[in-house]
Amino acid sequence: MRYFKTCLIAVATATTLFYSSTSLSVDKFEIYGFFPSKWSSNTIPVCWENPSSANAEGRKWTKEAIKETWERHSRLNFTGWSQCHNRSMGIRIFIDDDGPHTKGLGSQLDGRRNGMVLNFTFNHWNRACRRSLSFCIKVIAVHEFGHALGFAHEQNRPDAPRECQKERQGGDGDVYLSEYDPESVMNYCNPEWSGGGTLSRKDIEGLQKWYGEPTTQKPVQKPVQKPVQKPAYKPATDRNEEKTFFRIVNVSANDVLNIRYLSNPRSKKVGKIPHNKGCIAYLNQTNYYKSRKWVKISYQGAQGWVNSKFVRRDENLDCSTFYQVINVDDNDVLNLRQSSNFRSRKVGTIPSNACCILKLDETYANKKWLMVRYNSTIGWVHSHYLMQQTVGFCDSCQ
Amino acid sequence: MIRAKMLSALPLLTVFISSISLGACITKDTQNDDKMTVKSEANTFDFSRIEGRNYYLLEEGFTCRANAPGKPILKSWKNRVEFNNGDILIWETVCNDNPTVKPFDIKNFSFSEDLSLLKYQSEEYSFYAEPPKLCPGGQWCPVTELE
Repeated sequence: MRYFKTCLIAVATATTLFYSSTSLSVDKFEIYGFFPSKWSSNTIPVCWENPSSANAEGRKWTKEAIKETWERHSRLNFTGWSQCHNRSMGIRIFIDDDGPHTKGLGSQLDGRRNGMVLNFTFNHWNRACRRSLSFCIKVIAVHEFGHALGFAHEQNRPDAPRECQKERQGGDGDVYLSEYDPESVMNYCNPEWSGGGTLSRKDIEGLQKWYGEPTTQKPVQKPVQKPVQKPAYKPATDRNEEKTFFRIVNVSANDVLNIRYLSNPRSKKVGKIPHNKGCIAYLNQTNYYKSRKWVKISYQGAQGWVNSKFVRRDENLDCSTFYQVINVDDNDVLNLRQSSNFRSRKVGTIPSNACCILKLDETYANKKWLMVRYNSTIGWVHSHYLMQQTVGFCDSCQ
Repeated sequence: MIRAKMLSALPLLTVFISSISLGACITKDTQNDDKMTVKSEANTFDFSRIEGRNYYLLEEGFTCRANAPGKPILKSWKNRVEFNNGDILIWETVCNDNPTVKPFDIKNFSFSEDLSLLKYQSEEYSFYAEPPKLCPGGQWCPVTELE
C-alpha cells in the first residue's frame, strides 16, 4: 500500500501537455504529481448502486470490514452506505457476480458510476469463495477499498522481489510511504491471500501518513473473522488410520531406506528414501516377515514396503496439508484414481464442493498428482482439481 | 573507369530503391489500415460514440495469475481498454482489479468506421458488447499450471 498512485485527471489542460506525443505510454513520473488521488476530505461518501434484500448481508459484511480496518486506524469516515442517486458522489458500489474491481484509484472514483464492483455470490467468479462467503466478501472489500483510498498494488513497486513483480497488475504509484511490504493487503504476492483482510503494520503506517491517525483511541483492530478451522480432518475411526505419516529412524546419514515391492528384504527395490525424511504416507497395511513387522508406504509416488524398525510415527503437524476441490462443475465429481494417471482405475469420487482432503503423497512423474485420502478412501488426483486449503476456508472439516 | 562503373550501377540502385519503396507501400496497404478511418479528429470526435465500449486484444494461450485463494492461473485476454466517463481505462488482464485511468485523447486511437475495431499502440483491438468468453464458463477459466 504505501505505494500510492497520485495521477488525477481534473487538470485536463495540464495533462494534455504530456499527452502530446502519439502514445499514452508515457513514463509514469511524467504524468504524476499534479494532484494526488488522495481524497481531499476525510469524510468519504459511499453508496450502493443496486441494493436489495438479497444482498443485504454482503453489504453489512462489507461495511463492517471497512469500519474495522481503514476507518478504525485513521481519521477517515465513510458515510452514507445507502442507495446511490444520479448525482451521488464518493464511492459508488455496484454488486455483481463478476471480478471485483475499482475503476481507478482514490478520488478518481469520486462519483464514478459503478466505480467499485463487489461480488457477493461468486457463482461465476472465484467459485471457491461460495464456501466462505463472509470471509471472502470482507477480504475483498478491504483490498478494493485500499484502491479506493489511492493505494496501488504493492507488488508493482520496483523494489518488490522479482518473482512478485511478475504478478504486477494495474496502475503504478509514485509515492513510497514505507518500504516494500510483503504482508500488505494490497499485495498479490502476500503468501496469505490479501493478508486475510487484516491491515499489516505498514499498511496502517501508510494509511495514517495520508489520512491521519484516529482522533480518539479506538479499540484494537479485530482480524476479519475466519471460519473456525476445525481439527485438521475427520478423526479416523480405525486406529491404524491415526498413524498417517512416518519418519525415518535408525538409518545412518550416509544410507537410505529401501522401499520393497513385497514385505521381505529380498524383494525387488521400487524406491528409496533418504535417512532424514518425514511425512511419509502410511497406507494402512501391515505384514510380517520372520516375526518382523513391515508397513506399506508411499513416497514420491513409489509405493511399497519398509521394515517397521526404520520408521516411527511422525507427529509433525506440518505433514497434514489439506486441500479442497476446484475446477469441478457443481453437477460433477472428481475421480480418485488408483495411480497417478488418467487411465488408472477409479477407486472413488469426491464431490465438487469437498474440502478437508488430506494430502498423503505427491509425484511429478506424470505431471503433478497428489495422493489424498477422502472419507477413508485413498487415491490419486491431478493437482489441477485441488487447491491447498486457505486458512478460513471450509467452515468445518467434520 | 570508376566513374563509369558508378554510372552503370545507378539504374540498378534506382530499381533497388524503388522496390524497397514499393514494398513499403504494399506492407502498409493492409485491409485493416484501410478500415481505420477515424483518426486524429481531436476537435470533432464525439466521445459519446464510444462511451462505455470495451475493446479487447486477444492472444491465444495468454494467462494471468488471479489474486484469489490458491492463486489460480486463468485464461486471459492480453489487454482490454474501456472508454468511461471521458477517460480510457487500461485493464490489462482479466486478473487485474484496478485499471490504469488516463484522460482520453483521440490522437492516440484509430477506429474503424463502424467502431468495431480500434488501433491503439500499434495493436488492433476488437469491440465486444459482452466480454468474450474465454471458456464455456465465461471469464473464470483456471488452467493447469504444468500443462
